[in-house]
Amino acid sequence: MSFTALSGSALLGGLVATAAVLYALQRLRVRHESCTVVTSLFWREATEETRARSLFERFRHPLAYAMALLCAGLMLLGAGRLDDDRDEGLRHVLLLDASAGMTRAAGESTRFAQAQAALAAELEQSPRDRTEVLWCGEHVRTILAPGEDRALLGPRLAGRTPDLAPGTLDRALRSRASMGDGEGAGRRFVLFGDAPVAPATLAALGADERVERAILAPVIDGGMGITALGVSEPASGRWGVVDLFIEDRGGSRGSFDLTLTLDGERFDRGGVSGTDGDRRSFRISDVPAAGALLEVRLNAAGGAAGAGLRADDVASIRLPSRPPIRVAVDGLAPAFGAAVRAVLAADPAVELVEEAGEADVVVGGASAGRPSLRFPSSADQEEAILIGHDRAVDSSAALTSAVGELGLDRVDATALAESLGRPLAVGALPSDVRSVAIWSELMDPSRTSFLESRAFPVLVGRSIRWLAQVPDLTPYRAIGRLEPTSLDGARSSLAAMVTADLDAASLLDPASTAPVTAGVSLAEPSPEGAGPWRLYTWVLLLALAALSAEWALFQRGRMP
Amino acid sequence: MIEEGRDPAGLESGQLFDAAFLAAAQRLRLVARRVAPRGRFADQRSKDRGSGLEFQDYRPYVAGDDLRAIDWTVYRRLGRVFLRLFEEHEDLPLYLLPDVSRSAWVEGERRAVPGLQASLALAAVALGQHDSVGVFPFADDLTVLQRPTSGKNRVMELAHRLESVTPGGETDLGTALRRFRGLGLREGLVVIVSDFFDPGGIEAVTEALSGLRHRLLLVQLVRSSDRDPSWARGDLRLVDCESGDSQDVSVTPQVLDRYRAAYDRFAGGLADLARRRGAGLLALDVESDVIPQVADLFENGRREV
Repeated sequence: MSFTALSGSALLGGLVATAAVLYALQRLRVRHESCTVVTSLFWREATEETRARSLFERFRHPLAYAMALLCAGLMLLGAGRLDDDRDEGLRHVLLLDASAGMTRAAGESTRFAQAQAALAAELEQSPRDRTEVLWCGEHVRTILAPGEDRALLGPRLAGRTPDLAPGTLDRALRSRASMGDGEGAGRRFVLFGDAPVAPATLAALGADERVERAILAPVIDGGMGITALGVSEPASGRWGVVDLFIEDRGGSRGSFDLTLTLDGERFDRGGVSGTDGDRRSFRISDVPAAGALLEVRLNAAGGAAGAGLRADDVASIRLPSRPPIRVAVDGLAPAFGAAVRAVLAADPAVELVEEAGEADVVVGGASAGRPSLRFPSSADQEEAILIGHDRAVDSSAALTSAVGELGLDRVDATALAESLGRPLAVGALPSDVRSVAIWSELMDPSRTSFLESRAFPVLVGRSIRWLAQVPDLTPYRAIGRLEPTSLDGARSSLAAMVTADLDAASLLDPASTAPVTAGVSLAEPSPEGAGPWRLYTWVLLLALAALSAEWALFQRGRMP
Repeated sequence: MIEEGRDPAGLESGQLFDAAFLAAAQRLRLVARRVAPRGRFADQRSKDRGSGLEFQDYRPYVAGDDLRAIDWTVYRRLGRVFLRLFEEHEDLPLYLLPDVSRSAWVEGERRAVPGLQASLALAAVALGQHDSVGVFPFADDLTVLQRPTSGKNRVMELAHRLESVTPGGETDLGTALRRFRGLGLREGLVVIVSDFFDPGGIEAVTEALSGLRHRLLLVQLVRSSDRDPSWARGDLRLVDCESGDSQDVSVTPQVLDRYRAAYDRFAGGLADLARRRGAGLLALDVESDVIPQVADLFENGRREV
């Protein structure tokens, strides 16, 4: 039990002061209305004589004093907004879920509107100076700071709609929890929305912190939406195509279907490649990688739009552009040149051209300012392999990266060094144009067996791709899955939904798509503490009843 | 309750009496049960037997009796001589003592008006019976407005005199009656018309009347608010209109109950006093017509005092 408008000590002091003032008023001599009578003979007998000029008279009406004190005390308690579920000094953090999932239709309104209404009701009952409201959309920010007038919230939320972003309640909660309370009086987090909160987040909360989720109307539809969309290297190994991966999830998939379009043209998809619970996945092979816009739409069987949440019914992705890499081979020894040409001819990504001016990459001869794969003599180059990288990149980082990207890790450097009788070194230099320079001695069949090794075509092929700056494909980016290229799996789990390279602005997190199955159960605000019938409401009603009783007693002459 | 700052004023000519009032008053008859001897001849019967018209008794004839009084019918029947005795009619002096203290003048409907009207009604009755009437208004002292006089044609003169009465001061019945006794008037009927709100209470009234040897008729001027002050509400400072004393009162039902009890003790004490003195007591409601109330005093048109 606490007071949300007055502190306990202030209220106790107020009660004592009220009692003292009422006592003094009771003792103060009444200012009588003067009137002349024919005789005061009988009044003298009826009343006790009182001194006309005394400041105080004796305390005559203890019961009337008690009644007045009761009325004043109850009104003071009512003014102090006596409450039974608020701890004194407790700070209230109200988190409004403004993620895409809150755009879900709920009757004639939306989940977001429901959350706003619940937030306003809760805010009305929370102490102004210890309550803050957070907007948990794409970014988390404070929309009502402690001490700000509640009336400011309405204008600040007017016209606002949820962001097309995954839920950030968990992130906001973790952030606030990590900031600490600062006053040690405890905190109460109230969530208004459906976004999930990880158990680890709840476990990380302090002992004097608790999380409640406001009661909203239950979600009627089971949720059906596209949750993953991505491309990957084609399983066929062909160049100029990608494999497409699509996943949807939801409890009523039987009545929904997926349609695909490439730059607006209908594109036939294959069948379902796998199911996992409420998930359904599609893999579409050898989709031309020509930079077209692929749109995936989830349609109800009757042609109508999907479930209550429209935002996850459509997803789109810009497919990569993978034209052939034009390579010109020039200035190589005949035997070596034949070997290189054979490797390049076997590479589906490479198109051999005669003129260096038409090539994207030049192998061997003069580069004419183009990226080149060269084979200089060891007398001209100190390092066995020298990489010319972009000036924007640090040489050591470029070298580390190149070991994998160029397939240098596949090269048996020890054997080559023993064959040459000298150590091999790899170096990197900043350059305006990318280049890879490898000792020609390494390619001499009389001195090493490198040309015959499996590392040679790998080195050539990867070098060509690196020199042509062919972008890597992210195999797929699916919401709720770890990014294969990410070193920080935890970070990418929920937050990496919208990515610029995928242009998949419509993809939502699984919890938004299927909120019924998502989330962690949290305590709800206690029913007796909600709604208009809080304790102070009853106190005010009691005060009203006491005042009415006093008035009735006065009218009946039972009270002076 | 009396309006603040209101000064009592006297009466205007014609305010008290009109012809209808006087005619109604003269239909009443005041009869004394006992009249003091040596008075004038009037309509009042006395214990003295004389030449009046009312037969009273027989007695045997003795030498020297008036032969005209012998009842010859009785003689023929009984053979003995008896005299018929008749009442001797004498006058009943009526002394009117109207209360003209300040309390009788300060209210909206002034008690002095019905009091003086009742006085004149009684005076008219007495003068109509050839009785003598004297008027002695009193407040803190007694004044002689009209010495005892008789004659039916004196009514209007007496009315004019009563209209000239001016408000007095504080009620002091003891002083007034002492002054009255000092006038040495023949025993008669004293009518005190007053609210009897003597500051000394009913005890002072009783003491004042204790030395009075006249027959007595008390006319108590009352109004409903005397016993039931419904106007009283809240916290009041009551100022006595005569003494100026103030009394602070927080009016509650308990206080009102005690007030009514005090008033009832006062009224009961006055009734006891009248009963002990063999006096008449008329509670005259000043808010009602005077004549009907005075007429009620005269049972069958006459009242024995």
